[in-house]
Amino acid sequence: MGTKRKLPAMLGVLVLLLTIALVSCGGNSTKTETPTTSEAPSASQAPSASAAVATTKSDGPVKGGEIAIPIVADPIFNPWHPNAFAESNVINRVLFSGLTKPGKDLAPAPDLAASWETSEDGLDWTFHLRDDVKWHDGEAFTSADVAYTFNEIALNRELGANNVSYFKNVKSVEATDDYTVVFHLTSPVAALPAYLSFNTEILPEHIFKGQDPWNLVSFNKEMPIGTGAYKMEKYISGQSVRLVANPDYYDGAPNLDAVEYRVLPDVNTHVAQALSGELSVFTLDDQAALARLEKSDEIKIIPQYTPRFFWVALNQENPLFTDLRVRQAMLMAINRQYIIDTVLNGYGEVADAGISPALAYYFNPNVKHYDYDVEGAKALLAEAGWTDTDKDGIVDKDGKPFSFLFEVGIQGNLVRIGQIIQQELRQIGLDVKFETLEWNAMIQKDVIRRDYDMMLNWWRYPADPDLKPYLHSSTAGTGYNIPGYKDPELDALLDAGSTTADPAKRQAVYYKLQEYMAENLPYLFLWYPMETEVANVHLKGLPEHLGFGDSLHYIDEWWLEQ
Amino acid sequence: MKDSQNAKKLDTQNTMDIPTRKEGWLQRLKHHRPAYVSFILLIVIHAVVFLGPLVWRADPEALTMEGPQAAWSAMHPFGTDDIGRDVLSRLLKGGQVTLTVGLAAMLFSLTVGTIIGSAAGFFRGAVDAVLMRLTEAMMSIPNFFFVLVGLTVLGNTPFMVVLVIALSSWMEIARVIYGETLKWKEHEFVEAAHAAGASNLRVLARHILPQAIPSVVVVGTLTIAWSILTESAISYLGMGIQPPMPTWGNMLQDAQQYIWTSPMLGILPGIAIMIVVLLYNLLGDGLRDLLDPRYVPRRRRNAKRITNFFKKKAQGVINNVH
Repeated sequence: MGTKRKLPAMLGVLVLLLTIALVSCGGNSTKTETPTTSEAPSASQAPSASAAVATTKSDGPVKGGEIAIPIVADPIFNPWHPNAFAESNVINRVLFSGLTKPGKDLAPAPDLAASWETSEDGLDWTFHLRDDVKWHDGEAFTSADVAYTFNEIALNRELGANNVSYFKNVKSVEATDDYTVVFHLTSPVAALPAYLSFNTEILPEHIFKGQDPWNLVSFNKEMPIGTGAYKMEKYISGQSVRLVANPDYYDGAPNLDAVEYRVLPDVNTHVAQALSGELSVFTLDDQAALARLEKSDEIKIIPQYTPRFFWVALNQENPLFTDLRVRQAMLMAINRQYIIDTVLNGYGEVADAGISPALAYYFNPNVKHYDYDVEGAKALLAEAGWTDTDKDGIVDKDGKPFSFLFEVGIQGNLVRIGQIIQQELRQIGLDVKFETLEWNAMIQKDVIRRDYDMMLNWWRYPADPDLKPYLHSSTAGTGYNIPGYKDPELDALLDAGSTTADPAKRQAVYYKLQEYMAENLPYLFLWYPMETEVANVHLKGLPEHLGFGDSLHYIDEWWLEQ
Repeated sequence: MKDSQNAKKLDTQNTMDIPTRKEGWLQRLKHHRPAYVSFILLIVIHAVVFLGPLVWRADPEALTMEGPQAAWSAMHPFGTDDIGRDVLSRLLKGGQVTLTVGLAAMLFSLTVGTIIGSAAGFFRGAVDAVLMRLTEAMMSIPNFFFVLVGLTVLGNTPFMVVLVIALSSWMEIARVIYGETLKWKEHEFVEAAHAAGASNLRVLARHILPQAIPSVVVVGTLTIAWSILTESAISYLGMGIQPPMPTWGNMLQDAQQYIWTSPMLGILPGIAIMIVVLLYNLLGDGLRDLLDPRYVPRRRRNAKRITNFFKKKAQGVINNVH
């Protein structure tokens, strides 16, 4: 009996001891397993000197070495597969190539297509392909592969391919000769080359012909054949994908010998393995963990704007939110800078409209800005008829309190941000109920059925300012226009922008569009987040102005300092 | 004649050392120091958690002026959390939720366990076979996975959390009740009740189940500890009760990212969970000891040794007589 009584206490002590033991083991293992980190202090004491040494030691890229990149789930080696998400994209853009890729200035740059032009009426786009490209199995790459990928897979409505929404206006793709393809459109799409750089890589016709593209397991889950800088060596489900350099790559053999993607679902593991030098480069969404990484001299953190914006959508089917003054008041009540500083650790910029500073050419910095102003917000609400007549702390109108449900999907920082916004909206007298939803349940309820009052989320779009899918009245109800905001003037601007090919004219249209959006608030624009890329200091050759995702298109240029 | 007299003498000697039934439960608890101390501390903790917010009136969900991760101060004794809420008020409110979930889950699993265990023990036959096989089948499912799957299917409202935890922990109680029912239903007073024409339900409720109360109290106490621990674990995994409602478990989850910058955000709810679970376990084990007729409180052990000596002597006398 005596021993039994002591058991819990003993267990407690045991747990403590184990924790201590584990912590100290962790410390040991990082020291012993990775000699690179133990060398760090010497380098850190004289950062300028070490930089100098580095430059004298190697003036340019050197060949050899391998790197590791984390992914959170098992990938599918087929960019068009409906289940190919982020973890697949980061591999597919290395294994395969698209017609274009994001340029180092984010404008579309040549990849499989060496050049392109559009017809007078903007309805035909001609792409001239490279003639020196070979598939990993030695077959030659030709226009037939492009035509097959689009006509048989992407444009086949029954298949429901990924990203196909960008190609709604593409009628067909015609191979006019071995190295020329023509995209026939139903209406002009100025952003076509940009869309072609975004997870729309070309698949080999000689393998897919006559097969079900989604169930070709030998390709999608085992041995993909691409045209990219690296080719498949070994894939162990649930563990890793190992790619080796493709010596016949059309832009010259890549510098690194191998790239290994490790399946590691937990962000904390990413951070720990980055600190121990096992992982080379990845994007860290969890900015709170950056504080740990910022202290390390073995790791560089590269903040980068990407074409993204966070927003709050107010369902325009709900009469509460159709009054512009109410939307303005709600935006003024949200202290966006506070959220950026606390939750995003400062990696972001307050957004007034939807076009990110990443698209520097189209970004208009001089639009209407709503400062954080609680009193101003209350005044606007009062102007709209909402005042607290019964002194219960909640504004009301015609005897009805301003009460609604705010739903947030459980993902990353959203729940944390949502709780702050809820509290801030309460300060101006809105009765906001807060509810979290599992991610897929949120998609079903809020996005597909549009059954919500207020929600919080973000958009990430290709490197082109065409925001038509997210704002145009034609996409209200079913497409990505989640608030269901309909405005003919906004539609006109969006249409003009998406069909104008001349960059200067486009810029003028999008400047005006941003002014209009900032004024009329179809969404409550929150901020443009910065993507924080975490990279080992010895990894060089990452393009300067590209986020991690885009810089993978240039993985052949990456190299390891020896 | 002589035998029974001797036996009677022995009985009175024995009852002197073993806590008598006449003592109140609190007096008996006093004989077991760890359990007694745990009990007092638990009362204090519950009082602080449930009455504390009457004194410390900060809103656990509102943002404060100090901003996030503020240091400890008179305004905010435990500082503010990752988004700038008062930590003390969140600990109190979180404690209310966590402890309530623990108690509610225990009561719920007690109800389920009692119904199943007593029905199986009382009616025997097919009912017994079905219910006890069900109990055994449930016991073979790892509790925690059952809880995780249950929450995924049913959603994670506070009621569902209570329900799922209860449904994963009633088996132990059912087995205890089953054993007790089997034992007591053979006693004369139960037969007497039957003979007097009492219905089955009445016999069960009035004559059998009250006998099982002591052992149920023990299992129940341990079930609370288990429920609190489980609620904290699933909240920590993000599958339990959802923010903005705080629980010790989801406070722990929020704090996880900041463990290197503001470790106290995680340590405080962690310690709270640990202490409460430890105290409930100590109390439960203590109660179990007290129910055990062979148990003797430590300070009476010397007395027991002497009695044992006489007992053996007496036994020798009895044997000689035979």
